[in-house]
Amino acid sequence: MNNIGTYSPNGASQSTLAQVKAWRALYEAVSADKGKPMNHWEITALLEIYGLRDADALSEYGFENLFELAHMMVEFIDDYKYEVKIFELEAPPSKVKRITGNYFRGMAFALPMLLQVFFTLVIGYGLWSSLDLDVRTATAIAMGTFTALVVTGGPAQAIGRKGLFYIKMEEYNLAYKITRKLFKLFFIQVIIFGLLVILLNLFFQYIPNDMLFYMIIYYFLLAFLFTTFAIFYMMELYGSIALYVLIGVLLVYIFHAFFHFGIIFSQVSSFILINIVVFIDAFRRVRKLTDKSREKEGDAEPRLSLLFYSLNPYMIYGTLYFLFLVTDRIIAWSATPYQPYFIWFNVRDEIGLDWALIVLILLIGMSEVIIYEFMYRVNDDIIAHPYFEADNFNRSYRLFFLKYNIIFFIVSFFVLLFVYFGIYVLAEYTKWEFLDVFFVDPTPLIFIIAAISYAFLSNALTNILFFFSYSRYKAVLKGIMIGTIVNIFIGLILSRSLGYEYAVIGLLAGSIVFWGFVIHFGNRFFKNLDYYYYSAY
Amino acid sequence: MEERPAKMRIALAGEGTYPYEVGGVSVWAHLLIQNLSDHDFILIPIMMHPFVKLKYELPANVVEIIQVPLWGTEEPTEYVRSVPFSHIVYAKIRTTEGIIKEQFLPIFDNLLDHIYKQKEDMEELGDTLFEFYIFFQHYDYHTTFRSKLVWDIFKLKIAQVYANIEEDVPSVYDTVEALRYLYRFFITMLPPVPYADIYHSSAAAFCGLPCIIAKKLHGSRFLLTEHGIYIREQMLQASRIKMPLRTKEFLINLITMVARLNYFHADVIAPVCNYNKRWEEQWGADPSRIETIYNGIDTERFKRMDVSRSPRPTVVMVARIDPLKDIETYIQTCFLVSKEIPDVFFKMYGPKLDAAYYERCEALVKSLDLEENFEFSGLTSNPAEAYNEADVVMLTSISEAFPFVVLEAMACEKVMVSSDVGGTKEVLEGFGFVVKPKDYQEFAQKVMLVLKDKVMAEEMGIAAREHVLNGFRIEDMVYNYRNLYGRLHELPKISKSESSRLEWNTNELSVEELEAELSEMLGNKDE
Repeated sequence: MNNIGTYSPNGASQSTLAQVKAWRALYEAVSADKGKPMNHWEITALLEIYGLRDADALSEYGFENLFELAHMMVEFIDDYKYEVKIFELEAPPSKVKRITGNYFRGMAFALPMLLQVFFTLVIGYGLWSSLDLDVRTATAIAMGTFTALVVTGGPAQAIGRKGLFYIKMEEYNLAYKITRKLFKLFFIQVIIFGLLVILLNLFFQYIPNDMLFYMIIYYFLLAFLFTTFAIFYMMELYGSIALYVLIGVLLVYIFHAFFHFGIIFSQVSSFILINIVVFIDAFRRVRKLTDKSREKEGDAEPRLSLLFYSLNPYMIYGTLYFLFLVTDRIIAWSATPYQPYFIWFNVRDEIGLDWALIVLILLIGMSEVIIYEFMYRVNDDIIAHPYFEADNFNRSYRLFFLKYNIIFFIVSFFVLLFVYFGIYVLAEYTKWEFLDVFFVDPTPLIFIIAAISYAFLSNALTNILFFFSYSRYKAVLKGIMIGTIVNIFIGLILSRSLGYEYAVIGLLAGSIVFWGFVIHFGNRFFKNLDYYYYSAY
Repeated sequence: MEERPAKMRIALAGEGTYPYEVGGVSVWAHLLIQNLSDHDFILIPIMMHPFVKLKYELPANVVEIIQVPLWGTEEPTEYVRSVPFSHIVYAKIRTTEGIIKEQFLPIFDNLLDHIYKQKEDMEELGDTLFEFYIFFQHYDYHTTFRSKLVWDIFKLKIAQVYANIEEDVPSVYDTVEALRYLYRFFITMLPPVPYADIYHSSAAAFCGLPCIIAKKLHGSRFLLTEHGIYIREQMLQASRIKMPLRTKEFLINLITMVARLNYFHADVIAPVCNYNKRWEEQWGADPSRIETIYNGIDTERFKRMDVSRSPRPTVVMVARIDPLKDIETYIQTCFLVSKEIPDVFFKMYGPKLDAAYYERCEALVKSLDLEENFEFSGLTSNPAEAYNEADVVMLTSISEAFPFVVLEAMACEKVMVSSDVGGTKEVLEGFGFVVKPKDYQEFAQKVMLVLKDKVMAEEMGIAAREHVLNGFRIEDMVYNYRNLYGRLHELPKISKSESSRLEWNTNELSVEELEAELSEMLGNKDE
C-alpha cells in the first residue's frame, strides 16, 4: 500500500482522488515501455523527456518542480510490472533436432580429414596422400605434411581466436585488419621455416635432395592452405572447408584420370589451384565482414607486442597439439634399424592410426553438441539464480560436467566398436582386397590403442572448448606440454625396446596425462562456474 | 622532475566525442582548440571501441592523444602506448594473489562502500581512486580484476548490501554484469596521466577521473564543462534498454558516484547553460564554483545569405531523426499549418539515425496526407544554407542542453520557434518563440504568426542576430575559456604537505622505488 492519497507536497493542499488519478496516469505514460525506475532522479528524467517542465509541474500537477513531482511518483513504482531485456536469444530447436544438427555441424569441422581418409581408401589417393606412391616419396610427403601441421597449428589458433573475438565483439574492421596482418606475418613465418629446413638439410643431409624437394613442395602448399583455412574456421564456415577439400580431390582425380598426369603433378596442380581460390574466397569473405561495421575505417590497431602476448598461449597450444598428434608417427617411423633414412614411412602404423582417426572424427561431432547444450541453458540459468544460490548454480553445472563426460566415454566405447567391426564386417562380407591391410599385425593393435587415445583426446578437446571460450588456457597449456613430453618419452622407450608398434602407447599415455590435466581443471572450472563466467574477458 | 612546458598545457578529456565522433561537444572542442593556438592540448578521448577514425583534422597545438577504448580489447593495455611492453609484462608477473589481497582488496572494498553508498566521503573516495591509479601503474589490471579474490569479495559485498532485500533480489547475472561494468569503466584510469597545467573534462563522467588523478598527482587544476547531464542521460539509456534493475542500480550508483566525485573535485564547473545547474546542484555541486560559459558559433559562417529556395512559405528544422528530437511534433505542426496555409513547405534536414523511428515518421506524413507539404531532405553539409532557405526555423526536441542550432538559426536572422528544453530559453526568450514541448498546436500558432507577419519576422530576425553577436560568438566563448584557464593557472598550487604525499611520477622512479613508495603510502594510510 502506498500513501499517495494523503501525499501533500510543499504548500499543496491534501490531494484529491482526481489528482491522484492524474498523477498515476502521468506516471503510467512516462514509464510505459521503460525499465523499472530506480529513484526519483530517473522519474524526473522521464518526465523531462515526456516534454514536461518545472512550470508544468506547478501549473498542471501542483508540485513546485519536476523533482518534487517525481519524489511523489516513487510511491507508484512498485504498483506496476516492468519488462526486463537481457539476452535476445532465439528459442532453441527441439532436442532431437538440435542434437542432430549440432552433431553434424561438429562433424563438418573434421569433415576435411574424413574426406581425405575416405578418398585415399576408395580411389587410392586424396588431396595430399596416395597409396600408389613409393615409400621414399610417401615419407617425404608425410614429413612435409607433419611440418606444415606443426608450423601452422599456432597461427591457425591465433587467427581463429583473435578474428572470432573481434567478430563476436562486432569489431568487423578489426577482424579484417588483424586477420590480414596475422596472415601476412604467418606467411612469412612459413617461408622462413621452410628455408631453414632447406638450409639445415643442405648442411646435414638428413634426407636426399629429391626427398627434400617433395617435402618442401608439400610443406609450402599445405601450410598455405591450412593458414587460409584458419580464416574459414574463424568465420565458422566449416562446410566451405570440406567443400574445397572435395573440389581439390576431384581436381586431382580429373588431372590424374582424364589428363593422365602423374599423381604428384596432379596433386600439386590441384593444390595450387585450390590455394588460389581458397585465398581469394577467404579474403573476399573477411573483407565483406567490414560491410557490417559501424565505421568503414579506423586508425587505431592494438599494439603488436600485446597482440602477440595475448595470443601466445593459444599459438603454443596449437603448435604443441599438432606436435602431440604427429609425435608417435615420427617415433614409430624412426624406430626400425637399418632403414635408409632416420625416418621411413610405415604403412601398417599409418593405416592403424588413420583407421583410429575415424573414431576421433566421429567423436568430434559430440563436442559441438555438448557446448551448445551448455550455451542453450547457461545464460537463462545465471539469470534465474539469485546471488545467494550461486553455489547451486555451480553445483548443477558440475553435475552437467560429470554427466556429459560419462556419456562421452560410453558413446566413445560404442563408436570404437562400430569403427572396428564396421571395417571387419565390411572386409568379411565384401572380400575387398584393399581392406585386408587393416587386419595385418600390428595394425589392429595400433588401431585399438590409438582409438582409445583419441577418445581421451577428443574428450579433452571438448572440455577445452569451454575453457578457451572463457579465456582460460593455463591448465590446457600445462597439460599439452606434459602430455607431449610423456608421449615422446614413453613412445621412445617402448618403441626402441619393444618395437615400433609400441610408440602408440606413448600416444595413449600422453593423451591420458593431457586428459587428466583437463579434467582436473574442468572440475574446478564447473565448481566455480560463476567466477569463470564473470572473468571471461 | 619532469620538465614543465613553457606554453600552458591543457588536457582535454571527453567521452565518445572529439576527435572520433561528430556532434555538438566535438564542434565545441574543435573550436576551442583551434582558437587557443597559444595553448598546447593533450586529448584523452574515452571511446567505447578502439577502431575509430579521426573525424577532424587535428590543429597543430594538439601535442598528444591518449586513446582509451573501454570495450573491444582482450588486454586493456593493448592501446596504452606510453608504457613499455616490458613494464606491462613485468607488472603481470608481479601481480600475485598476495599483492592483490594485501594491497588491492582494501582499495576495492573502500570503492564498493562508496558505490553502494555505505560511505559518502568524496575526499576519501578521491584518495581511494588515486591509490587505485597508483596500484595499476605497476600491477596488472587484467590479472587483478580476473582474480578470484576480487570476485569473492564482490560477492560478499552483494550479500551484505542485499541481505534484507526480498524483492528484485540480484541474480548471479546481475553480480557478473556489475563487476564487468566496473572493470570496463575504470580502464579510464589505466593510462599514465601526463603533466598538464589544467585538466578539462567535457562531462561529469568517467573522463573526469584522469582529471582528479592529475590534480592529486601533478597539482593540475580541474575544469569541468557539462554539455548535457551525464547521469540523467545514462539513466534514460538504462531505462530505455530495460536493463535488469540490480544491474542498473549498480551502474547508476557507479555513474552517480563518479559524477559527484567530478563535482566535488572540479575547481570550476562550467555548464554550457544555466539549466544544467539545476541538476548539478541536486547532485551536490557547490553553487559558488559554478560558472556558466555559453557555447559560441561562427557568426561569419552563419549569417543571412541569398540561397536558392522554394518560393513557398518554408519552415526548416535541422536535427537528426531520433525520438529525442520529436519529429512527430514537427509533422503534426506541419499538418495544422497546412490547413491555414496550404502551400506551406516543411523541410526536415538530418541523418536517419533511428531507422524504425524514421519509418514511423514517414508513415505519419503519409497518414496525414502531407506528401506535398513535408520533405525529408536528408543530411546537409551546409546547415547555414539550410537555415537561409527558411522563413521560420523550428526545433521540437524534448531533450537538449544548449543546442547550437538555435544560435545558428538566430545568427542567420531567422525567427526560431523552439521547444522549451534545456537552456534554449536562456538565449531565445525575447528573440524568438519558446513553446511547451510536444504542444504542436502552440508550435503551429507561432509558425503561422511568423509566416503571416513578415515585418515582425524581419525585425525579430535582425534582433536575434544582434543578440547572438552580443555574447554567443566563438570569440566570446574562447575569451571566456581563455580567461578561466588563466585564472585557474594563477591559482596557488596544492599545498606542499599534501603534494608530498600525492607526488608520484612513474617516469622517473624505478619499479622498486615505486613499490616502496606505494607500500609506504598504503602503510601510512593504515596507520
